[in-house]
Amino acid sequence: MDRESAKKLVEEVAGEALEGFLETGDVLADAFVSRDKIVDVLLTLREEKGFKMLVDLFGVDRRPDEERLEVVYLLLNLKEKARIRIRVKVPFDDPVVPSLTPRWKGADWFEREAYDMFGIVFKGHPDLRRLLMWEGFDGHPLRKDFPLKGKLLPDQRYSRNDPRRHGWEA
Amino acid sequence: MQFWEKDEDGRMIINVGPSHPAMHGTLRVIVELDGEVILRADPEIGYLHRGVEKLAEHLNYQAIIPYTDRLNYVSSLMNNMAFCLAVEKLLEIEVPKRAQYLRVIFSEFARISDHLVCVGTNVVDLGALTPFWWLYKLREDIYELFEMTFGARLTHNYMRIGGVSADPPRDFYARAKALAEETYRVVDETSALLTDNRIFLKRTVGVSPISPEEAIEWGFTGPVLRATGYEWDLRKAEPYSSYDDFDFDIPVGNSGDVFDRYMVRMEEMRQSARIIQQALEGLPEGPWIVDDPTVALPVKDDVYTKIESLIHHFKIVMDGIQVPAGEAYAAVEAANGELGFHIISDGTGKPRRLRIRPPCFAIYQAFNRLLQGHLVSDLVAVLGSLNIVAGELDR
Repeated sequence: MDRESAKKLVEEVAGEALEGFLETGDVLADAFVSRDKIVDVLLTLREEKGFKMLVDLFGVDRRPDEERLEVVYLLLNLKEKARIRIRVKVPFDDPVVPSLTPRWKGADWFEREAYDMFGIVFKGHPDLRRLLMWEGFDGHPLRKDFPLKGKLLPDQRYSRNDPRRHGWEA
Repeated sequence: MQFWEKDEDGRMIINVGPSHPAMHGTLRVIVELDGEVILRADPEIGYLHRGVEKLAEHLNYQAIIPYTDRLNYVSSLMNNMAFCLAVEKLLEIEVPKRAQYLRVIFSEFARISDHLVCVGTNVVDLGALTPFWWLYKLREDIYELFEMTFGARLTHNYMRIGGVSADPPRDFYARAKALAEETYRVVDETSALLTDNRIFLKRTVGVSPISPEEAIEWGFTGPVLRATGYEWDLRKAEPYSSYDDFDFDIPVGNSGDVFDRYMVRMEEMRQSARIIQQALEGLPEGPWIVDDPTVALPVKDDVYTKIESLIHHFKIVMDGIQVPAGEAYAAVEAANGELGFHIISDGTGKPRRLRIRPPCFAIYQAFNRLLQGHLVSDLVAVLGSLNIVAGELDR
């Protein structure tokens, strides 16, 4: 499979849901797909085109760009040794994406992580809990507006670990 | 503190970990039992979450390499390499042949030491102590070789963007050759103890089998996928760093159970030793890092005596390597499977987003599926055979 045929394949599968291609050199095709059709597109690629493995699924925060959030799916066709990438733009004020997990088991923890780190809600996920951070944690750490040094819990304020004691509060 | 409770149906909920002798690293599993049979296992991760992806957004590219050491700390050289390959893809530079071969040699040594740890701790959990000492002796020898070469035993920080940090010392080659020979001997001796051992077979054969189709749906890669009988190895499928120069086989199992994973790992160690021997034999002469002052640090003597070198040194250290805007994903066949780095660059010296795709993550999410219906004593056998490393699982 070469770049041309991979692009044609994505065009054929996505149809009207295709929102445009991105030129990246490392995969055969890199396409934006509309949010409502994403699960159908990914499942068609798996069932009919042989992209059997969901290698990776992750969120991206592109602040200060206008369209901040994005979910990236990396698919692998093991027979033809071909990789394609599918992306979805996620509006910041309504960060909801249909979940892939009920139809594709391997998406489970990847979606939970993207929810934990970016606050992207995967609608229909059977068990959407935080994965890496603890339950009750406030905020989504990989968002660009989350401070690098973290946030203090209420009971840590004014304690010996308070950074303000050392005068390096930003 | 109460660590177990019983509900009205007589089912028992036990908490294993995160600090427990049989849980390697900080892993925690909440198991629901009916007698001794596992009904449900819910792994909880994140106890070693250090936010490497977040930290990387605030670091220069070359300053991220030491952080990658701390992902899979059992085979950190391959993490270095995967990250460097991703940056090199964005920079579009060709690494010198000698550096590629050196990367292969050290990656394969790292793979051997990773498999040694995995097999050794797996069998020690099953009650076999002697193989553990034999395997760890070889691992110790490999670590001494690493220490001699880069001065560190566990977190090596050896690879650089565009090559490797230094040429190995003169007596490295003879010792590496001897260690490759030693690998065959240790693997043969240990399999003589284990492979036909009735107790070992009873504990491992038929425990948590999985079909290749299901393994692919879960996103399994590496030895756990190959144990199911599916032949997939990035070193053959998408050769990087001159892996297509070497002659080696991909071992596969047939049922995907704990025993097959053990067999695949043992055979992979032999194949790694084969690759090391070929790479040492054919190691080309030449530079070990690219000749590009915007990517590679200049020689230290020049920094002290030449103004241009001093400027280049200053620019790389202060501003970082300037990577063109774009995105790139590079993956290597790490000891546990496909380890990938996805970099989103905005054209500055720091990545806008660094995504790490750890192989354990996809494998460990199927832990409930792999354990259901098995006995609680199988939990440690399965966990050890998957080789979950908390450092790369939680990042």
